[in-house]
Amino acid sequence: MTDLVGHLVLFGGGAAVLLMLPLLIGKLVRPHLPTPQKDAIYECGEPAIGSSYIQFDLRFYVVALLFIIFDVEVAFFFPWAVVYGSALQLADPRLSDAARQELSNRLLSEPAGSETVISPEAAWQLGLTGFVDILIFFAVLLVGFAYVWKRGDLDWIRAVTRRAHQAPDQTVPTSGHTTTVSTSA
Amino acid sequence: MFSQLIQNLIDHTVETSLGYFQAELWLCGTIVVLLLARLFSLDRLLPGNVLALAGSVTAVFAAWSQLETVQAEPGFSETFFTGLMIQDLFSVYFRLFLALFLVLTVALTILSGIPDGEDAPDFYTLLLGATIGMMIMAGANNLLMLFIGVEMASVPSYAMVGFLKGRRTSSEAALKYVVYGAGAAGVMLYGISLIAGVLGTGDMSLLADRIRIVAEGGVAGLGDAEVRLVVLGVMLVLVGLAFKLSLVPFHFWCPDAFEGASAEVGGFLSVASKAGAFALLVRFAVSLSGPSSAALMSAFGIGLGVIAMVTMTFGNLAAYGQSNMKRLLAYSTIAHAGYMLMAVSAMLVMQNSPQAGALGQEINACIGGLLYYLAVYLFMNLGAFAVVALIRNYTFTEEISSYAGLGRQNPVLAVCMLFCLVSLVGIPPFGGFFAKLMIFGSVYKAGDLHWSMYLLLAVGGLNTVFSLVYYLRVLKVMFIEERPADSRPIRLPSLERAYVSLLGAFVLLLGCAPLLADGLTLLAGEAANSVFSAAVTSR
Amino acid sequence: MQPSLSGYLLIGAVLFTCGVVCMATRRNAIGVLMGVELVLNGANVNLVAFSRYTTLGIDGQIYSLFIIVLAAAEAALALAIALNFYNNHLTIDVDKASSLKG
Repeated sequence: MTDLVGHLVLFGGGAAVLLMLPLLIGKLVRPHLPTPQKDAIYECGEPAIGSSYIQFDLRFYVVALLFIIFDVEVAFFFPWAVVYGSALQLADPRLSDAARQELSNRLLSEPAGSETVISPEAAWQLGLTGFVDILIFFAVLLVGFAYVWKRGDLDWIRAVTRRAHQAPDQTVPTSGHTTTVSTSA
Repeated sequence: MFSQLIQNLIDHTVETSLGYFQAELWLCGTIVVLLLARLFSLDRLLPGNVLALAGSVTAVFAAWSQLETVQAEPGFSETFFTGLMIQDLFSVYFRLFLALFLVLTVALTILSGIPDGEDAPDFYTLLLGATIGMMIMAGANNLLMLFIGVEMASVPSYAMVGFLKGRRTSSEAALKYVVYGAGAAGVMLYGISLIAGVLGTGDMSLLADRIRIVAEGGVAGLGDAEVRLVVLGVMLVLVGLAFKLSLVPFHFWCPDAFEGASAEVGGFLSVASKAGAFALLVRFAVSLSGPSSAALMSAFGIGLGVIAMVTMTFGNLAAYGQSNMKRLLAYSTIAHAGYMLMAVSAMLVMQNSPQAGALGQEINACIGGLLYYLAVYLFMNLGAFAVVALIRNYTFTEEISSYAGLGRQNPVLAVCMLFCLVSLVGIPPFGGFFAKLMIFGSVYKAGDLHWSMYLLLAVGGLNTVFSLVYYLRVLKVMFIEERPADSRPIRLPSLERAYVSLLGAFVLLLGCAPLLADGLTLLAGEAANSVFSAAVTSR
Repeated sequence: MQPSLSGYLLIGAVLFTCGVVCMATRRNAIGVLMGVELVLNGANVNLVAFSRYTTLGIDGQIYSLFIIVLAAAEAALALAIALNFYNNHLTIDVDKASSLKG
């Protein structure tokens, strides 16, 4: 324990000293003669053009918005997948007794040595329920996705120009994206 | 054994839980159908507004049938979805209330045509989604459902506020609402994590019991570090709820959001989101009240009383200088949230006093009064917003000065506005008067237990008098000033006239028709009773 | 060396405080939203830690799963609204949102 801390302190201290020492020497030794050319930002010998804080195309945001929603919905699949996977394994009648015991304990989060065993029929029932559940969930999610698609919010070369022709005062409609939030959340 | 467990879970879900949840399920189904209709380009055949109206009417019938079954068994209270939600008369009352309000709002949007054909599916999806969230808030029995309900109600609301595309004020209002709202939700969530973690459960019906266990001396005091954490958590959750209720330190968003949003959305937010948040506040407060947390909770009750005083005074004073009608109504909403909070404050003070056993009737009356107030508030506030929306369609402005001479030109609109505003002040014989009377009566009774309740009552009374002035100013413009000769005439179609007359009639009838008013009072009393009986049986 | 519950709670509290400070001081709407995310994740850390150490059990992890999804939905909507605001005002500085007041 102390050995580890000692090593860490020694290593950190050594690194700090070796970093600071050249900087300090340089500061003491070098002449101080600034010119505008020296103060300019270095950009591979080229003159620097503009600020680095440029604006990205707004369409990246739209795609990011849609992505994040459908991406995160998948998080609900993780706990489902754990239970469903174990249930399907348990539903197999050929499973050995020891393996069945271990899987049951894991599914019920009981300590090893517990007596409760899940029968193949019960596991099959659980798996079936889980499957129907996820189908409903996914169907609703798909309706939202299809709606976004139909509205044209996924098109990269969107009809910004077409819309601009139709309604000059509206550039990017946002209501479509907000709708997906409410339906899929 | 395990097979039995799964079978029971499936049976209970299919036979009981889904039945209790049917109003919400109908709305969910309507949303999916709305999107599918648009997807397959059926919107000519099935316009979004018709679908939304049909879905919300079905939800009303579903909630009504639940009301009848639940009312048949006094004190009925049952948790469903493995304890996440609770079904009692209180939640059914709110479900019916919200579904009815949804029908009225959808009807108003159809009449005033705020979402055009292109946007109708989007708008109604948001509207229905927000209503589902509010219904979940009213039936929540778990801290997770509390948070999900609040989020499901708020997230579509943010979008609805920003729905008027290409308008600078609308986008600004939505930005302010979403920034403050997201912050408040985050703070509330942190509070939930502390409560759930320290008490070791998210089940709201167990909270009071767990506080007793955590407070080892039997009485929860601030000396105990774990109790301190719970109190901090409760305070953070109250911040989130206070934001939804636009109580004073957290009210900034309300006037801006209402002014930027269309009047229909403003009306929806001012009534429905208040109702959901009050239902949640009552449930949360009742679930925390217990013998060992009595001292803490009655301190919370007095604290809420102070917030109520500040809120209504601020709302009424700020409403004076407004020239925009929607902004004026927003400040009036803030003031009314203060009045309604008085009932919760009195309830907490009485329920956590040593004499709570003898005061059962009075404690019920607090919540009964709150429920009655919400029902009357539905009609009077929606009526006022509906008039604003309908006038806007003709004059294209919401300034109070543009209402000059309306009384002579369109008496139906003006008289409806008169009824709504006078009822908002609380003058007999309108519904608002009796609602206010019931709440003030409860606060008066609570005054025996703590002097600050008398102060609360006095401030409430003074505020009622204050508020008369600015409501009367609007009425003076409408009825006494002459209409400018060059202004556009307002000729309402008969359907719109019937709509506002209906709302105006209800405001009047809830005050002076004994049958209707007594029926509602009785129902509100029973609903209030059920929320306490649930707390008692689970203990 | 097994870390203790208070260590996790401390991290949660630090995240929460950073988030609140970020929400209060940032003028950029996106910055405020980042603060909100920090607050939500502070709560998530708390919940997962509690689920390991207290009787809250697996519920705490399910809570945080739902919170992650809700936070994403909220963030997406907030970004959409910020985008709409940008289209109308050509800025996302919340202090510039000042045409509504009174």
